[in-house]
Amino acid sequence: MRKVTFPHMGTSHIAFKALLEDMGNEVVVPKRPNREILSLGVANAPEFACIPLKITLGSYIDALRRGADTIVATGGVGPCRAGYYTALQKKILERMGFAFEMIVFEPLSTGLWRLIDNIRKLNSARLSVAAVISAVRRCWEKIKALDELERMLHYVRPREVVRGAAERAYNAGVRLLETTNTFKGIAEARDEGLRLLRSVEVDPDADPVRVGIVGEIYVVLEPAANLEMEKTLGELGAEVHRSIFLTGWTQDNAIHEGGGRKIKRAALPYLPEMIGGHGQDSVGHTVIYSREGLDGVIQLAPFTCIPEIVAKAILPKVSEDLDIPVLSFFLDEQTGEAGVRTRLEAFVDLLKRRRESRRGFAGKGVA
Amino acid sequence: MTFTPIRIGIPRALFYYTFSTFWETFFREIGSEIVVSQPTTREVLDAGIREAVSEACIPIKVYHGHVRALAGTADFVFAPRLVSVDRRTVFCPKFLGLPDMVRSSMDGIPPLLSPRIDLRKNLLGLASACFEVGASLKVPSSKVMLAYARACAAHKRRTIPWPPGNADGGEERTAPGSPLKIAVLGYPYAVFDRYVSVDLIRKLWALGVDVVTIEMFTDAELNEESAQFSKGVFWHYSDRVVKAGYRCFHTRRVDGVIHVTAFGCGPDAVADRLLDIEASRTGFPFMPLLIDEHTGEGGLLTRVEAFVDMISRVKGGDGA
Repeated sequence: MRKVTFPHMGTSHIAFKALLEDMGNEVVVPKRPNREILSLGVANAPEFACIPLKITLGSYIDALRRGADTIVATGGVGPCRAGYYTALQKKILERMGFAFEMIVFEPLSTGLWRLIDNIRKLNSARLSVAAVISAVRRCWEKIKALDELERMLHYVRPREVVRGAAERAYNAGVRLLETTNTFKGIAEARDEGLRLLRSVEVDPDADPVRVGIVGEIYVVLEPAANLEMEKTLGELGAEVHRSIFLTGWTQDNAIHEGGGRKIKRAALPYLPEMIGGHGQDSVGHTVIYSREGLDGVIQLAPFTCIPEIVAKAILPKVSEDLDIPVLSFFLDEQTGEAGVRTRLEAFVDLLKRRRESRRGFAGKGVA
Repeated sequence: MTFTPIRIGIPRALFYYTFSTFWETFFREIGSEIVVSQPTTREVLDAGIREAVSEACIPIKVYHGHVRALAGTADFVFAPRLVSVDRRTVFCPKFLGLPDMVRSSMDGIPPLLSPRIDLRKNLLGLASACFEVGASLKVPSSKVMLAYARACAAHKRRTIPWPPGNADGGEERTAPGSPLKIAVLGYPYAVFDRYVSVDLIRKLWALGVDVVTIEMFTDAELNEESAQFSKGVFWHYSDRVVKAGYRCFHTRRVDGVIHVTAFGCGPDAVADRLLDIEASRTGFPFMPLLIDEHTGEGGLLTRVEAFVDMISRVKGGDGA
């Protein structure tokens, strides 16, 4: 039986595991990235590659050692480096002496045949076309449900009375989703998870500042890569609005890379070009967040990430023009939790004070 | 009434080293005056470091420095958005967002002329870029058409001065026919910028080494290496560097390969590792040379000398 692994990204492994098992594969579930996995990646990756390459490489090494023989990952056609990472990782892993097959899902624009071929390879159980479609749809429903729970968590966390209560409710919901695999079961688990989150005791007078998160998809979606910044922000009393969820991104990028017309339009005055990765999205989302009246924006990027460096050069201008504070984090294996926390505290403080002084002015205006 | 031509500033950085003939001819033909910034110096780099986003690579910082140097001497700065010049590859994201980075980060610079150059879907992409420039400078299209044609012809005819991009280009290569031949592979804007490359090519000449660069490989030769890749490298310059390296490893017509890479270069994290893996697989002498803003003459020379020593000993051993 094929033993399949894939990159760890947030909670998505729950949905992908079920899908690959439905198709008759044994799944070597990627571990949540930790020090050990990161060190494996750092030791074998090019020094100036970005942290997503290092984490995923470390995670593949770990999974191959645990018996995986197939790696499933996504490709890309540039100009972001991630599009070439699977090809490079394959060479590095082969050079290390691992024998495995790498199955790469490229954007559909590069050819439908390859997609069909990939699915056929992974269809170890020889499911019918209808059964494969049903399994993919269930996987999709599960990812949607996971995203929904996370959105609710972002709303409840800054308002919770007992610290950690929202997180506990969320985790319970995720576990429910993990244990079911029918359309009905997924819908029920989602509703139950949402109900648990809604029943968390909240402070009715809580008035959290609203912070938008923009940046590169992997460090935004993988809490282990961003040192659980969303959690820290929630605990500091900030409501997180995240620009990227796996569901939205997949819809924008499955056929052609770099979709999302509304975001492109918003970015137009500052960065009219799709520069790969999420560079243009980071600029566009910042513009949109300022229009929506958010109090501030945080840019999360892997150290050396090319598109986000371009975005970082442009964001100060956006921030000045639209009067919205922007804080950039470039994350690598050296980034420490304490330093991140201090900067976040200062930023949330700044946002709160800005808001107070604005409300003060508004009050005077009325009087 | 006297007519003062518009002064177009061209930064001596990045694609200047590849496409200067085309654009200089074009601007001259439409009646503009051309101001090319002086070769890179410490001051240019320092200005770039001050003004560019701190995470940018050295060549992008150098570019910002050259744009600064043109302030006050040019009416416009020509800073095209270079997306693709063939149907296969694109440029690094920093090239794609270059005019936007410069506009957002720098104050008090001349307005930018930044046509988009993308030949992926439109074979006439270069002509439309010319018309875009012509329109912003209010040049009649008949004149633009003629200038475009002449620029294309000039680009085709150009002989690459050695080393390219330098005013003193006609210089003789000092070590032809010498026993040792080393390929210096890297992006033209790093290899041929004497300041950025710490004058590597002349240092090698001084050591009696004949130098080969990517410019000396024909497209056909490079494309012969395509079969080696399950997936081609999709950045324009990196694709050429990696293929030239593979060519050297496989044909063994040089004695060693030095890969010049500038600090902070994103695509090089990929390109350098691809070269490194193939060099060690084929057992070919290979040295990556990482150049940053603090690279000193001494340290670099020592490494280069050690490498040259090593390969000349290997070669001497073969002959004996």
